[in-house]
Amino acid sequence: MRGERAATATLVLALFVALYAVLRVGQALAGGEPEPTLVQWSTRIAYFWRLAVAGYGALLGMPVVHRWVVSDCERAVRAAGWAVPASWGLLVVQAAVWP
Amino acid sequence: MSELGFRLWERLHGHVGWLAAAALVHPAWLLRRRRRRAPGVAWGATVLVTVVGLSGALLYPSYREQVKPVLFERAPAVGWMFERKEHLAVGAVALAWAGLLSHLAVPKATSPAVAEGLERVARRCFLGSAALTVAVAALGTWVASTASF
Repeated sequence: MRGERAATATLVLALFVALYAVLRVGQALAGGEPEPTLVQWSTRIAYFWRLAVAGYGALLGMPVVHRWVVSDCERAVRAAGWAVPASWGLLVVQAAVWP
Repeated sequence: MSELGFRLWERLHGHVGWLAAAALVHPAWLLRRRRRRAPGVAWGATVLVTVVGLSGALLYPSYREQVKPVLFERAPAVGWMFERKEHLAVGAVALAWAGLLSHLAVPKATSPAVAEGLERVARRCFLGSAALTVAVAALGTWVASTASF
């Protein structure tokens, strides 16, 4: 795999993780979640819904990210080096504060 | 699936989860040195954590129906620990793939600066993924000791 593709994939995966965390925070802040002890069955599982929406959002961003990576690969790779710990930190904070 | 089947699957999921955590520490440790190549180790750890992630996702609907209500009734704090584990697992799998793709791209990088950047990205990804996987495995063991299928 060439550097451009790897940098694009890394940035898109970091975006996916960040979007997942933001979606969960939004969902928690919006409220209206069912009482866990009362849920027996439902067609919609919030966890899978978040995965699907975050994946869709990250894929939508992929062409823009790829264009940027192709135009300045060195800078994009440097950005990926910071995007990874940033998305990691966002997910850890989300999981700790808004499980 | 029978109760015994779910119980066995859950145990297997937990054991392979710890194995994936150990496997991910391996590339995180090896790649601390610059210009170190470890594609086999990176592939193995990434595939393992992905298989465990898929196994967890397949178990999740049954957990939600059979275990979650009991767990939250018995020990809500531990129930929230399970929710935390599920979020962290998303990051563990995604970062392992980002690390693998970056590591595989290093020899084909268009410039030394790009290669160095990709090495740094792969190192950070595997380190982050390993830390998340260890946390996920520990939280999973804690939850399973409180309630299971």
